[in-house]
Amino acid sequence: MTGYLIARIGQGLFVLLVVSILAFGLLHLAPGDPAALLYGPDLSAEELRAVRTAWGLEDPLPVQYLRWLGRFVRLDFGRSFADGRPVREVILERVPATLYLTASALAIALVVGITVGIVSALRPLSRLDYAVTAVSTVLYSAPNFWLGLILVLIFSVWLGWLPSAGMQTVRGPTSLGDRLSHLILPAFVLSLREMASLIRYTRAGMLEVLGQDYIRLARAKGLPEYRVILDHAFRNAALPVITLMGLFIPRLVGGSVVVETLFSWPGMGRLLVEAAFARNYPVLMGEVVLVGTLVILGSLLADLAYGVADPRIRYGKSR
Amino acid sequence: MKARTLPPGSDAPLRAESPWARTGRAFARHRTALLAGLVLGVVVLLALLAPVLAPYPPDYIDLAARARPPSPEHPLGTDRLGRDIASRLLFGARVSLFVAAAAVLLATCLGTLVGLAAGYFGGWVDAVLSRTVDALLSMPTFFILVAVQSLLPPSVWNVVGIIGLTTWLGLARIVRGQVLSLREREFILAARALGVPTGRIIARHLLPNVAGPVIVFATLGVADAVLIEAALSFLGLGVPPFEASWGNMLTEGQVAALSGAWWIPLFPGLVVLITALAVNLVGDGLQQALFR
Repeated sequence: MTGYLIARIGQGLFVLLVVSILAFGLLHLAPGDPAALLYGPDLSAEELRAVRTAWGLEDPLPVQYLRWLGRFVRLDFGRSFADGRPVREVILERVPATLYLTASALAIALVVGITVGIVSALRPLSRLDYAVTAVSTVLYSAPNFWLGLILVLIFSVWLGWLPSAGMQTVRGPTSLGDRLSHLILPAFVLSLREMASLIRYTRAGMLEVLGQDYIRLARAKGLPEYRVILDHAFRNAALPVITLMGLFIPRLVGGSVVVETLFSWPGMGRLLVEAAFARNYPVLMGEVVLVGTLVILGSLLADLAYGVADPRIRYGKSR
Repeated sequence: MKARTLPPGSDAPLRAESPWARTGRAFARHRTALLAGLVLGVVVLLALLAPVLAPYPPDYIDLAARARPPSPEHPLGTDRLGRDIASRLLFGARVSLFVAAAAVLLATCLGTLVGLAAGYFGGWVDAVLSRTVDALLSMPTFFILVAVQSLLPPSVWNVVGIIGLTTWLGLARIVRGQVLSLREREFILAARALGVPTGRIIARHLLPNVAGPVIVFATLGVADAVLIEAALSFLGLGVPPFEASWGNMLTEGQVAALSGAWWIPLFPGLVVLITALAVNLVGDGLQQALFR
């Protein structure tokens, strides 16, 4: 187990290093001068060069990268080109909003996806089963931000039941109900794709497990049906579902870019788009590397959860 | 690829049916997939015939008819600048389908090459390639996509490149796995013993045997590419905004939706959905036809 952990963490660090070098190189070779973007025509060429020197943009790239890396290991991501605030501060204040959104979306996807998948598998080839398969296939093929647009149109514009933007009402008192009503649409929209995969995998897993002898035995010895389904069938069908979780984390975080932009959600995804349009290198770099770190940690946790759920898995021995 | 009918009374065909013919027949039996293939064909045909079918040029602006709901003159309505939505959808199909097809072609070539190399040569080549693939698979690709795309000048080719370069990883894994088991088989050993050069072994003996998974991956990849193009363009980081593409049309849809102009976001999204759905169903059908 320890050996496996070390190997995984080593691999994670390797990923981050490669990604940081690639991202750094690309960002700096790209056209567009951040100093000119920020100060525009107000400054003369000399003054612009002074700003660039002050920001370290006139040094050779490897020097800039090493300087950046040296600061990075001390969790110093430099200062935002936009307002001069430390990048760490700019990004960290956006982390809770994204975690809140993605965790809610994951919870919705898990609860709905697993329940619907189980129910669908209990009556294979029934009308309900066909409907579930059809809906999940459609959900998987739909651009989720478009579904979001349509839901905004229905629930915010026409019915006026739910707000279309933000995390809470900007002015005036905020309450739990107010926060929840702001959360429903974005979290639901973000969950749809993962929900669709969960339905498919849970259904397939359950169908496979339900044909096994130990299920017939459990029924034969007179266990109530709900215990057969939940304790015997689902626990075994859940294993492939847990492996999926490792894939969900990067996908949910990736999806948050579009969903946060659509719903003006003040998270990391929207910050990325803002930084992208302003060519705010330090923030872009910090985002890519910080989000990479979070995602790698998440995948590692999902792998470890797999070991807890399935005692047959012993990490390290087979490697 | 033509299905042959057998003469009555005989229980075996005179000549063995080729694997492709068998696949073709299995696919044709799969009714949903066949229907999806038909839908996809219609979408492609509409895109090709856009200049003939579109009632207006895609950039034709009718200032007198801005954000009009569907009507006889504009069957799907007009956008906020007064451009005909149906015409833009037809021309947008060309851009969106081209981006998806070209990106998938790039991803498929890359994934197949990397997978073949890793699986066939093994050793340190495999170690380096596989670790890199694992590494990139654990990254939130969309973040990198947005970050990189924002720095490149807007162009259709950049979108193709960036989608192609970030979506080949899964295929490389699949091909590597297949090649690992294939290269231990007798026919490869025989080829090597006969002194067939490595390049020829890979091209003539390995490649045809991994074609199945590659085709399925490429098909399903088109659906993903269509969705990624739509998402990137929606953010304003994809196809240049002045060109009609399905994703670009959705960008305008966001503001339009808040003012209640439902037809502006509805139709482009519906077209993306139908296309991605058809591609996914064809992919599922191919998968069942090939691996049964």
